[in-house]
Amino acid sequence: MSARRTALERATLGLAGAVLVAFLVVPLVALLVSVSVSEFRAGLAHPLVWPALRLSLLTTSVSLALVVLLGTPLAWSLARGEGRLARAVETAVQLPIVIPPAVAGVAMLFAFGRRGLLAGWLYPEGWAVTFTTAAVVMAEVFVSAPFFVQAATSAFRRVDPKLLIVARTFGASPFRVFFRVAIPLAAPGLVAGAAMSWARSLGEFGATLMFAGNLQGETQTLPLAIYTALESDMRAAQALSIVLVVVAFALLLFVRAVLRRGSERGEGAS
Amino acid sequence: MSAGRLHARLTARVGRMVIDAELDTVAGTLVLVGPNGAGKSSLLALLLGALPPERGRVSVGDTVLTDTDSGVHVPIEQRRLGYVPQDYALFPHLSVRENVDFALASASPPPSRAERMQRVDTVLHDLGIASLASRRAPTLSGGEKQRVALARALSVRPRALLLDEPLAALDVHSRHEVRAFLAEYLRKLALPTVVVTHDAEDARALGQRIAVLEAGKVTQTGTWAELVGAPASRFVEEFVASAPAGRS
Repeated sequence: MSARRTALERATLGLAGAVLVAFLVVPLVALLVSVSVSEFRAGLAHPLVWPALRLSLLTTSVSLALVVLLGTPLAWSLARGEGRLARAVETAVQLPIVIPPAVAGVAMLFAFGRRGLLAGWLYPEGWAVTFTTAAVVMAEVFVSAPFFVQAATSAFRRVDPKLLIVARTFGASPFRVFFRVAIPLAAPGLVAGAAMSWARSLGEFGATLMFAGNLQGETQTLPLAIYTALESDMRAAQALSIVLVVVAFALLLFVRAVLRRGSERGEGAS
Repeated sequence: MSAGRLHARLTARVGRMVIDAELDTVAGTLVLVGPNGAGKSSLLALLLGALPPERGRVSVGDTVLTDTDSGVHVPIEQRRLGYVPQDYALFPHLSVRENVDFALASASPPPSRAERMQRVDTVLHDLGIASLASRRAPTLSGGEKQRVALARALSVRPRALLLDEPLAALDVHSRHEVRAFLAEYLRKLALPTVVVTHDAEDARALGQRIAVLEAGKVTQTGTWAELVGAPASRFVEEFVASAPAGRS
């Protein structure tokens, strides 16, 4: 093959990649450069902004706590389970990643709505969780838990099984093995998974809109506030979007740093 | 000695292989040798209780750990068998002291903090590694890791000791020294011990007796001299010949 042809083929492959990179980066750049500092400040001063920011922080903190509290033991069971049941559960838990968020919202209405499947059992008084702040948390847990469980399961799978066997030979109870060996060794993966899951719940829109609605101060999180502001005040929508981009970017850097430190430490090796 | 003797007769299916073997430490250390895939590590897992046997009995002294006839299967946590795997399996997130303390504090109920501290000091001193107490496991050399793993396993006063390829993770230079240390240490320890190895020199140095496992079956058991004198199979013949000439 001639040197010219080699160079041409390399350039073709490189160009294909460059097109995609440009497509991914340009919108974010546009978001950042088409605003002045004073416009950004004015946008943030819009009355939609602070209630949404407060609500997003509150609901995503609660949903993250729920996801980690319930998801860590689940991931541990999935990582250790070898049977068909474990595989079936793992698949079921991953489903919310691939189903559209709006569908998730509709499905939650059919399960937990006022006339949903569990209504008779959940709401003997007629009250319903839908269109409340609790519904926002539920929608966020639904869409974000799979990201954490998936990351946590693979982090637990990377823990050397011999360490667990050895711990048991000393008489260590299942709790002790879980809390004192498995969790510390899987920690970088757990933290990274929690961050990804938090990012997913911070950006959650479709399921929240369907299941919790768009009530300012109660269910209007940042993404819903952006959607609402878009109709009245583009600058507010832009300012909120920038806030979310910055938070997401910081999270991405954080996750990478945690994972790199984890692999440098050589987790699982002794 | 026979009071603490480890005896096992086990039948199990591991993958496609059928393990059907009898082991007896009689006096001190029994070395288990055999070709790759003969089932040596699986046999250790069966002794540990990490794998369930189809049929069989495992006992140390008067204590029965497994007996399929009477439905006894003591769980790993209650067997009190010291286990040192090939790569030593030190907890990488803990220091040497914390590794040993983890073992001591795993008992239920755990000994007091003061007692644990004292027992950590004693066992680290016994193995000549008191100076390593605050080092983290990943910073240790292979020989040091092995001593820490032994200290950790012995700190909880096990009924017997199981070592899987204790010298395989070491480089040629440290191997000779660690082998001599281990042989001497196990002799003094006088605890029923099963050592798995694929190396003839290790087998000769460490084992009062050697059991040869081939395709899941024990084809010969005896002293090194007995194996050399009357090898029961082609593998045994080649195995003893692979040890460097000299001492026997």
